[in-house]
Order: sequence, then structure tokens, then C-alpha cells
Amino acid sequence: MVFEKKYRGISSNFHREIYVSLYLETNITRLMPHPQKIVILGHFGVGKTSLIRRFVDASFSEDYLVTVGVHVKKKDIIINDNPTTLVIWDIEGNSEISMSRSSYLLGSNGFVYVFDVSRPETYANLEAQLEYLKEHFPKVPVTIFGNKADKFGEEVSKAFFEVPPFTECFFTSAKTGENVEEGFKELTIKTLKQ
Amino acid sequence: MDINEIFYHQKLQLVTVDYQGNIINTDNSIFHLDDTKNIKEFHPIFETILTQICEESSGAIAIPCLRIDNGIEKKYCDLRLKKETGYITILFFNLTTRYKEEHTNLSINNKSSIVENSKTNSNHISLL
Repeated sequence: MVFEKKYRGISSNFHREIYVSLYLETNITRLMPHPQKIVILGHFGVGKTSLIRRFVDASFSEDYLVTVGVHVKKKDIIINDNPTTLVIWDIEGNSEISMSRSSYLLGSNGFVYVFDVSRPETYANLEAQLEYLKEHFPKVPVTIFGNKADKFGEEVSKAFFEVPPFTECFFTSAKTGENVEEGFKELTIKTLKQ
Repeated sequence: MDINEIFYHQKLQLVTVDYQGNIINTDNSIFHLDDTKNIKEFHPIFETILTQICEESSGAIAIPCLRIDNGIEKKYCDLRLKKETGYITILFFNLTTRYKEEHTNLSINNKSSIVENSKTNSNHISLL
């Protein structure tokens, strides 16, 4: 209605054309947000690649294939009826984020920090790693995944993770798919609010 | 073709695109992009990196060791992007051989480290 009223109020065809193109440009941008760059962080072997494979390709393999450098995948998702594109950077594992190549992290819209619930060395420095992100990327939202949650009960006690800093975690399983989509969706909502 | 030309012909590809990613020019020496209109169709990294370079004060970005899987073979390339007036230059350096060696070494190291740590953890549990 506002569009029509303003459109009719413009007398020259030339200015009407400019108005229409500006209106479309503004509204298309609003409907289709820029693709969001998401970087997956964490130690090697925690299941970063498997989580992406589960989320993007809906598949899983037990084989451990180490990631060298960066592998980028794309996924279109719908959040609150709005289509969004995630560009997910699967980077090589490091025990500390400061060891990652800085160019991989630049321009990120969101981070997923992944640890393995069955390997204490992958979450021993979790608080320090989150502090590093807060200091160097204060505006970029972070979601934490405690992966390999399918091992709860047999090797690992879930009760151990019911205290901070684990209370905010998504306990995921790339093997079964548990919580994977939910975790990525929550991060996307956070990134779109930025 | 002399030895230098052969080396660079197989190792280096220069692509120029406009700010939206439409390919203006390419030499096809590593990847055949003749049928690709927009570089974003070739690899998802370009979905965000072109916007990023336009916002970057230096107007340049370097991404080492990018895995590019075109469905037929996997290649590992270093990527350099530079913003010029009206277009962006993209350079691919094909370093597949070097990075595949690194991949093998890293694979062995990571697996042995996981095994070593799991031994320590199980010792710790038994002591408790």
C-alpha cells in the first residue's frame, strides 16, 4: 500500500523507474540476507567434518579423514520462513584457536566450537578458548557442540557436563544426527540478529 | 614452451571477476571455467569472500590450502584475491602435491596422538 501510494505520487516515468529499482533492491536484500560465514573450530578428531557432513549431506562415515587447510560447504536453510545461506568453513583442527590461520577466521558471522565428550583434552581449555573468541571477535556469536553424545552412558557420564561451562552446549552426535540441525539453526538465528 | 612456462601454466590460474562474481576473464590452466558464468557457481567460498574483500581496507585476501573438489578430483590451492577498480583478480596456486604429503603426515600424527591420549585417560580412570 505504501509502495503504491508513493509510486502514484511520482509524476515522471524516469523517477518512477528509479523508485521501483530502489524499492526492489532494498526489499530483496531484506528478504535474502547475505550468506553467513560459519567457521567450525576445535581440536582435531572431535568430529567437525562429520558434523558438517551430517548437516549438509545427511550422511555419516566412521572413517577418520584428517582435514588439511580448509574445506568449504554451502547449505540453504529456512529460518522463520526466511531463506538463508550458510557458508560453512571446515578448518583443520587445533588445540588452540590462536594456532589457526587468521585468514580463515576473518569476516566470520558465527563460530561453532566443537569438543568430543569422550576426550577430556578436547574440552580441558574450553573456557580459555571461549575467552579468546570473546576478546578477538566480540560481535561474533558462538555456539558450543559437545559431540559424540551417542557415547553417553557407555563410556561417558552425562551428569559430568551438567555444570558450567557446559550448560550452554548442544550435545550432538554426527553419527545419529542428534541436535545437529538444532545447533546450527540456533547459531544462524544469532548471526541474523547481529 | 620453456620450463618456466610449463611450471606456471600448470600451477597458476588467473581469473578476473566483477564485484558480483561474474567471470570477466580466465585462462583455464587449472580449472576449466568456460561454462561457468559466476565464480560463486564454481566454489561456495566466493559466496562470502567477494563481499569481504570489498569491505577489507587492504583490498587483498590470502587463503592458504583451500580444498577444491570438482567431483572428478580434489585439488588443494592457495588463493589470492585483490580488489581493483571495477573488478577483482583471483589467483589460484595449485599446491596439491605438497598439501597431500602434509595430509598423510598429519593423519598419522593425529591418530597416534588420539591413541596416546586415550591410554592416559584410561590410566587416569583406573587410578581413581
